[in-house]
Amino acid sequence: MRIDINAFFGHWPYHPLPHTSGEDLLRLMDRFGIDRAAVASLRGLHGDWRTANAETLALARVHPDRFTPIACMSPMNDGGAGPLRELAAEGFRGVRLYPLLIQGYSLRSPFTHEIAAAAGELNMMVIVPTRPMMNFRFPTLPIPEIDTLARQHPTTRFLLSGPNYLSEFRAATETMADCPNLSIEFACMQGYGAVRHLVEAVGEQRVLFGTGTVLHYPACNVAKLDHAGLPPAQHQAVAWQNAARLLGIDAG
Amino acid sequence: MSMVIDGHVHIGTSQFLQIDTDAERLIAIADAAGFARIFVTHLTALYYEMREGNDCLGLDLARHADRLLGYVTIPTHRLGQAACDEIRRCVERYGMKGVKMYSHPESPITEAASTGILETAADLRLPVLGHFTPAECDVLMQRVPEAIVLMAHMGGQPYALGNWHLAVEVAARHPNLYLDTASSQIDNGMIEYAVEQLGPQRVVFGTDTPLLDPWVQRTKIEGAEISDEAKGLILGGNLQRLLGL
Repeated sequence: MRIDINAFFGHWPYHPLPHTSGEDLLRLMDRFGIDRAAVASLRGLHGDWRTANAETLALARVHPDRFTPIACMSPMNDGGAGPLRELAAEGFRGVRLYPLLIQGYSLRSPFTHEIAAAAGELNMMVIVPTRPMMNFRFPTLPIPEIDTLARQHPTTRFLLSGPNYLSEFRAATETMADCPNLSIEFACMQGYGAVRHLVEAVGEQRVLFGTGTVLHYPACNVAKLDHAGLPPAQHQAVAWQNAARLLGIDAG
Repeated sequence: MSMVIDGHVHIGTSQFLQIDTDAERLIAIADAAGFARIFVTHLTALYYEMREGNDCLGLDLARHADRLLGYVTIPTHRLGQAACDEIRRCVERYGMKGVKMYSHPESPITEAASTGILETAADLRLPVLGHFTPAECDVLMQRVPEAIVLMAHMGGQPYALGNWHLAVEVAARHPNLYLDTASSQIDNGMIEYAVEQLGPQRVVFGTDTPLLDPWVQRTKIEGAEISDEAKGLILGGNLQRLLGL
């Protein structure tokens, strides 16, 4: 079984995507053996997050056995703890934040801390991408910035998304050493042996399978996991068990 | 499908890339990933001293002639005539099959000194794996249109800002410009777009092993929505043709 912790549907402002709809995403998942995905609408990165979340929820309700809804939120449009509670009540299991990269606020802002605290109370995962996708045209979020946030909210579960190899790998694993409430997904991590090295560095309980579909080719991250050379128990943890635990879903 | 040839592999040691590898390890990786041949550039030549690194690779080529193909690596075009002489030396002495060059904002490849090197490679019919941006390739291919240039990472490298659309656009203007697929980028549709715009004959498989994961790079081609014939050309057929293998 595989659960993709990092999937999207929707459109991208910088180039046309060959797959855009939730049904397109589902076909890709079927083609490449992905059973379930934690999914968000790409509208939530650049546009109105309320509409984005409504789209995501509608998709997840059509395919409840395949999609777990992940919200997007920003300080615009009255984002905050109140709306996050409403989203949790509707079934959202996590929230994505894009400070600095796209939405222009700081990881140290009152909004960020309000969301992090509320997410902890609501048992929702907070996903902090360091880049929107693995394309060098985009700026990256300094990974050590996440250290402060995760330390100040030790009961909130954070997911680091987007680091690549070399200095980013080291920064991610060093930050994770200080923050036991921080996990990582590897959709953008393309270094040789990356998954195995991650598991060695932080343990298999904190590494999650993610693809970045529909922005990325899903097959590449399936191959990355399947050729990581992990023992079966570690492979299962990374492929789906950790995601099921963090999302609070019964996928076994 | 023709044999798989990895057109972009590094050997040696680099602090910058955190690589320390030898031929035996690279061949073991190639065996595991199903690559018949690997086209290799030496990191000592790329980041320190040209002749020392190329000689090291020459020894590896002699020991593994059935698996390794060698690039003459030129660390900077500012070596001028010495680089041209090095290309001829490595072809004659070691049978190297291509040239590897790098561009950096500190020493941009569009300086005039690169012209003679490209002309030498063209004269010997050696493909040049160039870590160049699309804009740099556009300039170089106008100067030396007979050169065969493989644009490393097809725009998917930091200096090129990940712009594979521009890489394809520039390649469409220059029939001897090819795109190397090795890249951190796995953007959905990038291979299909290149094949649609250029044809599969102009796209060449590479992995950047051991920096990048070869299985991810191979799957980027095999999982793309293109014909099996196109996959065969990209994964090996094109390099077989270019190198006369």
